[in-house]
Formats: sequence, structure tokens, C-alpha cells
Amino acid sequence: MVAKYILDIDIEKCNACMRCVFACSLARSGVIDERQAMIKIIVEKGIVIDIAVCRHCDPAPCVNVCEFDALRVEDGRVVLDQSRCTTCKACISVCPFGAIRESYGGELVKCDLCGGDPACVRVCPTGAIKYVPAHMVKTRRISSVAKTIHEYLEKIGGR
Amino acid sequence: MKTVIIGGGIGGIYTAYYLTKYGYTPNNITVIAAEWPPYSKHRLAEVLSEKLSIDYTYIGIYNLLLDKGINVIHGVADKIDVTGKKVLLKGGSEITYDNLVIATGGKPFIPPIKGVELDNTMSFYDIGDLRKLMRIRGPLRIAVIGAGLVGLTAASALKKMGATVTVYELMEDILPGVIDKPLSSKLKNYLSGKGLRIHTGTGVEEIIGDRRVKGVKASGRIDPADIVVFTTGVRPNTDLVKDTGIETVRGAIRINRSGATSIKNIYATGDCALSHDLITGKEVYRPLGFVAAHYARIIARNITGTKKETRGIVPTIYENIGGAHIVRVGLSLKEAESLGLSPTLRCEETIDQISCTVFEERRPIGYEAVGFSERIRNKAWQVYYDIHTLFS
Repeated sequence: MVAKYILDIDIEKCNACMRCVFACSLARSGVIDERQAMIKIIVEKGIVIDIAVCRHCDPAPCVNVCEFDALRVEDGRVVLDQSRCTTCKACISVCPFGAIRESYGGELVKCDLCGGDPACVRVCPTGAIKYVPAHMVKTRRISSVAKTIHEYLEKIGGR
Repeated sequence: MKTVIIGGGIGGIYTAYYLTKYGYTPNNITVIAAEWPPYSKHRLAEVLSEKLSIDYTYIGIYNLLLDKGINVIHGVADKIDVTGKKVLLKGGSEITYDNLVIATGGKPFIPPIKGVELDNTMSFYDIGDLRKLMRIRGPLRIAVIGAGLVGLTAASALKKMGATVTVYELMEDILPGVIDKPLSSKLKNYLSGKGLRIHTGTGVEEIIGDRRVKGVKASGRIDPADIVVFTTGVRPNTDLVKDTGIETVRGAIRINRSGATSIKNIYATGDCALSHDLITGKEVYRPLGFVAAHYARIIARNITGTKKETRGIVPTIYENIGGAHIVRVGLSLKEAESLGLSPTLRCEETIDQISCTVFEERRPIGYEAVGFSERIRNKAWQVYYDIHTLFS
């Protein structure tokens, strides 16, 4: 089996240059438009406080709550099937990372890792977003949430 | 074996979807739909405020179902013959079934006050209402009656379109069924600061006008208005089951944990039916899309031969209203009380978010948060899993 790769986020290194956001939007929709991007840099009072993007939790709370079969884990990626989504937004309510967002007409968007070659990683000049094997992200603060999710789900035995 | 599904809304089409997923022959599925293609009510406000095409509201899954070969009858079911196992349609035709799924949805509740019959009064419920509001031109004064999730999203969308919007809520707080007081008062301040006029604890006594709406009389005074939008809740649309012997409770079809009604081989899901609350195990009326889809899956399992019972629903709600994030997982304090519990509330506040956890005997049974920054991060997911751990 191929090692699972996910995004490794380090907000300390982010200078909010927005290249990732624009690259993401371009890759997804062919235009530069923040609302079509699946990654969002959240800046407050001049400080980057968050890079909201899917961490591809597995098991994932969003997949657990989706009653429409629109979210599923596929090759280690959490993917959203637009054709099945009704915009009920249950997934947004339980996402630990605020990573699922509304685009035009209420369409929900989330990172799909560009099928394995994330555009955001390609353009990030500071190394704030890296694409690395999942096991290398273990020590990071963010993955502690993912770990807790896993422990929680093991306890309850999934769905 | 033929399965007939009455209703082309969420409950209906997702029952068809799950049936095909679990191996049921698509050609043996017939959906009777008054409206087609199926659309999502969650997208009406966005499409309205962003002036998008109505196509944005459609749920893509219908193409998949048609490709698979399910049958769709564009029509309205008039009568169910439970002994003859057939559905009679308006216009005279009929269709027999082995399994029947009733997914007739809900209908907007309009309070019985004087003037509701005037022109320019409407609800904000279906695609017809969206079409009406899309035709509006020019600056208008719009009164929205009812500050629930639908009311506030509609009000916020109408304001974005350029209308002057006033919201009236009979209860003391906004989002009365969704979040509790500490959060709703913060949200009210925030939305008022954004220019939405909100009157809580204010019952509308009369819609004033002479053929057309001229104003709204509430708490003794009259505010001018050009359009009145009622968002005062949903009731089950179950006229069809009258005299069939299918058991209802206050108009909603009673279903068991397999989604079956009191009559064999007849199931029901969605806004026409009750559902089960996971925490208390009680029957509740929750007209929400994911509840419909949850039972659609259960029903499809049972029809395709896997006996399956639901443990019940844990509500998981998110909405963005005027830039504020509203999250609710599990029960609110008020809903828990109404279900016979004696809950307590513990709240935390940061610079951009207020969140509360609802406890029953020290066990978390709910979580609610209102955030005012771009960031949507909270502990809802933890409480969601806590509830499943503790109550399943």
C-alpha cells in the first residue's frame, strides 16, 4: 500500500501571501476567487491565526455525520461528492478544523489534495504547507486532534 | 417486488438512492414527484442573495438515479389504497406497490392572524417562494415573521439583496429552538449591529393592508411593510394518509426504528414523519434534511432484506447567518427540558466565540456555539462523539 500523504500545516511559517488560496481556486475552478478555494488563511489583527484546510482525518467526523453518502474516505483522502451533497452542513458542525466551507449557491467545498499533487504546496514559498507522509505529522499539535478523533472512534466502534 | 415512493424531496430521492445502492433493481423503483428535479431547501437563501440561477438548488443525484433507470412519475398522489396496495394519482391513473414509502414532506405553518390572506404575504419554504422573491425589484421593506434558522437566513439574504428587513419573533430570544439564551442574545446584538432590525418577544397581531400589504401591527404599533414573509415553522404534510389507518401523532406519521409505519410494508421518512432522539430515545418531530436521509437509509436496508434499526438521531446543525457561525450538536438546554431532562449549561466565552455545553447529570448531551470571526473551530465534534459513546 502506498504511504498516506497529507498536508502538514505550520501557521508560524505562514505570512498570508495568499498564493495557496489563489492556486487552490485556480486548480479547482480555473479562476482566482477566494470563495472557490478550499483553503483559507485566517488573519486577525495582522496575525495568521489559522490555515483552515482539511486534514483528511481517518476516521473522520464529517464522514460519520453525512447521511447523504456525499463524504467518504478514499485512498486516505476525505472526498466530497458534490452530486450527493444537499448542503445540510452537518459536516461543518463537527469539523474540528473549520475546513469545509460554503461557496456559491451554498455549494460546499473542501480540499481533495488535488488528486495527490496539491497546488497549494507547489506555490507555498515559506514551507507553511507541506505534503508529507501522514506518520510524519504525528508530533504536530494539529494531529493531536486527529489522534483524539481516532481514540474516540475506537471507543465507540465507529458507526 | 415494486417499491413506490411518494415524494421527490430529500426523503424520497435518498430512499431511491439507498435502495439502488443496496442492490434493489432500479427499474422496480417508482418515485411520484410533484416537483422535479429535486432541490435542496438549504440553498434557497444563497441562490436568492447571490442572484444565481435556480439550477444551483438542484441536487445532482437525480441524474445518477435516472441513469440507473428508476421511474419518475411527475404527478401528485391523491389516495392510498392500503388493502389493494395501490396509489391513486390525481388525474385518474394508479400504481400498485409491494412496498410503499411515504415522503410527502412538510408544509409551512402560517399563524392564524388577520391579514395573512393579503397579496404579498408568503412563506420562505420551497422553490416557488424563491421564484417569487427573485422577481422582486427595487428597494423594499420586508417583514420576516419568525426568527428561527430559516427566518434569519432568509432575512439576512433579503437584506443582502438591498431590502430593509425587520424580523419579529414571538419568543424572548432568536433561534429559540436551536440555541440557548447566552448565545442568542450575543447573536442578536451582532445581527442588529449589522443592520438587521430584530424585535423579540413581539407577537405580530395583524397584517395591515387593503388587498396588498401595507404594514405589520405588532405590540400595538404599526411598522410599514411591502412584503411579509412567514417563517413560522413546518408542519407534516400528511393529508394523504387520512383514513388509511396509518397512525399519526399530531399530524406526523409514527414510525418505528426501522422506519416502518403501523401498516405492514408501508414506511415513512422526512418532514411528514416523526423520528427518534438518540439521547432520550423519545419520538420527536425534527423536519431536517439529514433526518430524512437517515431514515431513508434505514428503510432501504429493511426493504432490501437487512433488518436494521436506528439508535436515533443526534442533531448536527451549522448555519452561517450574516457572517456569524452557528453550531449546534445534540440537545439544547431548552430542547432537553422539553424532553423531560433537567439539564445544566456551562458556557465559555472568547474574543470571537461563545460556546456552551449542555450537561445532564454531568454527562454532555449537547453543545452550541456562535462564532463571529472567519474561524469555525470549536468542540462540537468532541461532544458529538461523547454523546455516541455515552448513549449508544
